[in-house]
Amino acid sequence: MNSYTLELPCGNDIRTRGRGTTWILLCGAIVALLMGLVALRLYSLDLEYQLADIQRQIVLREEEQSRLEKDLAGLLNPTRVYSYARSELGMKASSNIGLVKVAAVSTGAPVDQEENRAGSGVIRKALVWLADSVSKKASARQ
Amino acid sequence: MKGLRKSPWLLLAAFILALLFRLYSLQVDPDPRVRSQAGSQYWARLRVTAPRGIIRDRNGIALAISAPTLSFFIDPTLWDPGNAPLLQDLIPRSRLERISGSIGGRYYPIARKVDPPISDRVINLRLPGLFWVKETKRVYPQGNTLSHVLGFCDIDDRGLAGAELFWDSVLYAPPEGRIIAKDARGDFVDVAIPGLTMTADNDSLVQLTIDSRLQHILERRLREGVLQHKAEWAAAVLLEPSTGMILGMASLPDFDPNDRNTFADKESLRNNAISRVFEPGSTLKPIIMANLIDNGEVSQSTTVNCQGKIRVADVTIHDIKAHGRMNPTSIIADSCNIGMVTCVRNSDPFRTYSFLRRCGFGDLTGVEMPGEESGLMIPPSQWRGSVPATISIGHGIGVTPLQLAVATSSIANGGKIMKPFIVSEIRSRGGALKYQGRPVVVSELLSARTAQWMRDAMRLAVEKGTGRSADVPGAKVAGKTGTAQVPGSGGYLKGDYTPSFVGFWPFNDPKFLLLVVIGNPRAGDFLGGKVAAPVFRSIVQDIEQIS
Repeated sequence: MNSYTLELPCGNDIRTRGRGTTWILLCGAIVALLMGLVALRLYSLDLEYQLADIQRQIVLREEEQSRLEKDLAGLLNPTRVYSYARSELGMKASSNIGLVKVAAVSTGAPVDQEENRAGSGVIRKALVWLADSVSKKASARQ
Repeated sequence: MKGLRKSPWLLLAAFILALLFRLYSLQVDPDPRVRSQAGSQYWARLRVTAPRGIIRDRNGIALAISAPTLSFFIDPTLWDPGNAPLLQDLIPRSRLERISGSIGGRYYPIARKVDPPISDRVINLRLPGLFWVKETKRVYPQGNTLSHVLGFCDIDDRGLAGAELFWDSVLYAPPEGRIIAKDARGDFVDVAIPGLTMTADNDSLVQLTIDSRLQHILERRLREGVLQHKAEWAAAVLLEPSTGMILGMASLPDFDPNDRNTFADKESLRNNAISRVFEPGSTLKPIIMANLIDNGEVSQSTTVNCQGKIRVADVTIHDIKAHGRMNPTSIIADSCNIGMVTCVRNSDPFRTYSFLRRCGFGDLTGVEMPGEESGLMIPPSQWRGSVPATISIGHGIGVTPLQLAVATSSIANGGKIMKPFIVSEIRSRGGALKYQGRPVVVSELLSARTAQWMRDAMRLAVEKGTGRSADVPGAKVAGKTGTAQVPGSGGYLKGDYTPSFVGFWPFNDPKFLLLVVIGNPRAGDFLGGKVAAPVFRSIVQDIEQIS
């Protein structure tokens, strides 16, 4: 009579298998961690490259700004503006122009009274004529 | 049996632990040699040149600026002398001849600070063995304008004269190192490719009180005057009398700070406005007369008789003509020498000397510029014979144009001596405010009443006196002419004169004060009213049109 022994998994084997799984998971986690570290390192390198590229662009723009500012200062040079206005635009010396200083209008009198004074007769006409002649000369200069 | 079953896992765990330990030691705490070697693969430390700060005028227009340029050198071990002719139009001839033959070493500079159009052509040749580095070059966009005030720098961007020298500690930024990244092939991942340096920023600023437009007018009109009268030198100072703020300062002959060939004439490098000492002549009379009035030695009712000449000690002092009866106002208006000499005859020399020192004569004004002269003042113990009399008419005393302008400002502003300043503000690297020019009252020289009286007298000098050719209708100019002889060894030089004109406008509330000095005119005229006053008038006319 053959006898069979039924070997049932005992508690120790179950624990051993459980430990193996844990080790595998642990190893997987460590590998994942290492890969994560590598990925982070690569990411940081990429950021460094981007940063360096931005820095390069900043320096180039600053150099361009320096050149533009130099050009602008040269263009704003009053000597250049003056000689250009004389040679290219025909500006002439204003030897025939005098300064006309208009006295401040008195504010003591009522407005209508002032208007009546200015509006009456010859003085107003003379003032209008003077203003017109001055403005014509000014526009002729321009 | 159980131990054997466990052993593979234990071995694996041990292996992983060893691996982790090694990773830790390599990544977190590596050997310093490894760290250094790895670092050199990723990073490089480069020498970085920083530009000088900017100098601007009061309106923000750049007067001195650093522009990027390239400096070229060759590595003789990689250089083919046969390529030298390709550079013949781009580099100096002496250098070209040198690189046409064999050269030792690994570094030979061929051109420094080459501007972009030419430097681009050199780069595009792509010659083996030719390298370049980035540098900055000092540029003065306005050329000769304000050259004496701005000064200039040496080839290494260190200030040598003017504001460049005075504020070198602010404007100059020493070269510095910068860490930059390298890629896997070892190339720089930055701007320096393929040069070896790059530039850092420098936002330091020197802002002047000068107005470029007014400065242009000053220089243009002064140059016209110098050419017309064939003068040897000239100076002009324009300032705001109420504050002492310098709005313009011109000196001729001048130079172009962009062109070192113009530095050859030493006279052209001298700023005549602060470094030239001259005898002021009659332009000193209003100041002396104001002192006499303030002291009570002369009143408005005082009269003197001018007979055309007067004997003082061993010297005879002459006038242009016999003016007759003169009062203090007409003495100033007609610039009467005899009247002045008569008025000061009983003055105390020590008191007059003290007054002149309070005017600022014999001392530096303290303007923020290098090379200022203090002038010449004889101590009162040596005022013997005719010295007090000659000083009253502006001889026997040496002043700079700026000193004279500042002293005359006291008449224009109601009696105060103001410290002149030409710098509005200084900002160091990073933008911090380091200095700010502010009005500073040095001394209360005259009473307001005396100053007002003298302004009226000087107005009369322009309306009816010797300064008529300085009058500008509508501008209400007040001023005083001066014609001084030039002292030499053993006496005054024959035929050498220093005509000048100092004035302010509008005379009742002056906004501007201008001094014009023309040195040694050779075209015939030599009087201040004929030489300096017309230049003054033309400057006032131009300024009035834009202000």
